[in-house]
Amino acid sequence: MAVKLTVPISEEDIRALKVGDQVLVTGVIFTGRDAAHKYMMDNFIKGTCPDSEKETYDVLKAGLAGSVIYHCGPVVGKTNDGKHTFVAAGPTTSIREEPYQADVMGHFGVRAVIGKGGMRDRTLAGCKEHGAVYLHAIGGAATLIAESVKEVLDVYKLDFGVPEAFWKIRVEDFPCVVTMDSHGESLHDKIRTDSQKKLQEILAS
Amino acid sequence: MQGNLSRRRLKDGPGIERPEPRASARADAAMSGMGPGTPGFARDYCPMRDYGEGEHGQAAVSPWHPERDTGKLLLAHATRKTPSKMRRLGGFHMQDITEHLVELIKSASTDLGPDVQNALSTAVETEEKDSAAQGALLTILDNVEMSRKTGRPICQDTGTPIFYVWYPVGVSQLQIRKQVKAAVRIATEKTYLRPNAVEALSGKNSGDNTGEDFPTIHFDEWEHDYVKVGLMLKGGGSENCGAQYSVPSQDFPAARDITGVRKAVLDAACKAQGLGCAPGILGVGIGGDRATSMIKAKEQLFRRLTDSNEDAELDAMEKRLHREINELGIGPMGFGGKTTVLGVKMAQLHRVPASFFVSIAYMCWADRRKLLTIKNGSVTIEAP
Repeated sequence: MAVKLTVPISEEDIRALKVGDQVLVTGVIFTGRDAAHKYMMDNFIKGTCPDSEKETYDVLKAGLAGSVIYHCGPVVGKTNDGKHTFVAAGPTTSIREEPYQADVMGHFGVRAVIGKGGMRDRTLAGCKEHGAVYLHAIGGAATLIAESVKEVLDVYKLDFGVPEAFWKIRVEDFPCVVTMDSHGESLHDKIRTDSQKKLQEILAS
Repeated sequence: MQGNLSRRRLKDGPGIERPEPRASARADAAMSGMGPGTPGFARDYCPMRDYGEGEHGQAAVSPWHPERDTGKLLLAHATRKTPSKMRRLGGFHMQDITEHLVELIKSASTDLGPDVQNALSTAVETEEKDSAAQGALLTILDNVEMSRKTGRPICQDTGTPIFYVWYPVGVSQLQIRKQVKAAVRIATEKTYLRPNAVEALSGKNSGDNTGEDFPTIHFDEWEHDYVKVGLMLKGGGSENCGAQYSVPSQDFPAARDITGVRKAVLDAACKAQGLGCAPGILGVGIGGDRATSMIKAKEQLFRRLTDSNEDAELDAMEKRLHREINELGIGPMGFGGKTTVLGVKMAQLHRVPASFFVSIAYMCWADRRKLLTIKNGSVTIEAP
């Protein structure tokens, strides 16, 4: 039975989740991937926010608290009335954000990161420290996930390009699996360790 | 009647062993006004010099025929056709194939080939009931059907479009290159492709999927009198899981024989975990230099999953590695499970005595590749 997670997500909701749980995410969330994470790190976390970026910062600061960052570079179309719409919106590989993720979680109060492939030790420690989880979406299931994106509310830093911009979206019942929880457990670490052991067995045979 | 038409065309086509009804039906539907009832139809297969005219004045002609463009034998989406660019080169009349290339891109991006879909369906049965692995596969299959129905990309990472063009003597590569780039721009506008071409250092997106050596186009002139274009959409997540081993090296002690190849492929599969959107497909190039070895590895991804390797030793190793990689237990998306790869395909090249490369190209489950054949007035788009 899938657990429903609704934005704003409380720390209590997060602490109740364990690796392997299936969840359905509902609410207003943001996409953000390589350029977005580097931008947040350089301008807001390491740097002092330049005036030109103040407006974006305020939006992110208010929007990300208790919310979700989705590692996704969508294919975006426009409807006849000129509104943006997500055509395809599967997760992208999360590990590229490993240098930034824990800091971004802490600074903005992000409760969950959705992506694919899992992340490593720094992010896992960040999840434990800040009360956050890593949610694994189904890589490549772009059309299906686009269906759960009910509305595109806004876009920031579109000059990064369509895939790299921050897209503010409203999702309903976005299906994911918890693969890194806030108690220090990572399904990815377990599978990696087990498969490496098995590899040695196969090579020895 | 459309079905008949498909079969006849497909039978006529080279290297086509099995009709792929959906794709060919689409190509058929696009052939405005053409069908068995059209008087000119029977002549569709006539030698180039002997083309007749259809009842609506459309010539049932070869794509090379100069009058083809002036008649009404245009595709259904001809309204957005680029201006006719006839070329008389080496005795051939090269017609603008941009619109067919757009259809090829759409088909590759939105309609997964039957071999891959069948392999995914089979995998559902092998995974434990209600496991995360089985759930992932079921979601994948739902997504595949939904994309086909809605004509939307299977995956938002439509990747590097890699084209392989086989063309007759006398056709201009420059012209085809222009048409491929034009088709990619149109397909991007139509959201069959995501704008994916970014400048290497600045990261600036060109916005239309074209740029320095982007998309990738491989050209091969051949002795046949028709054009064939293969397209593979190679997503970035899976591309990052590719690997190349110089065997042996200090970090990788292994023998310069098939056992060393096996060790390299297993090592790469284990390192990839679920990161390349498992269950993936591995293309392996053995020998060559660093560049040709990887090109050969990628070419293997065009092979049908159910085929056999003509080289008995490689065939046995392909099957063995398929089994052994699945024993690693990485599973779909790396959630754990029995399906880590859907297939392993290998080929070897000559090498210099001093080098022994094993190159591994990782393709995600969304193994999007299609073939466009333009021959004697018929256009087919199909899975390998």
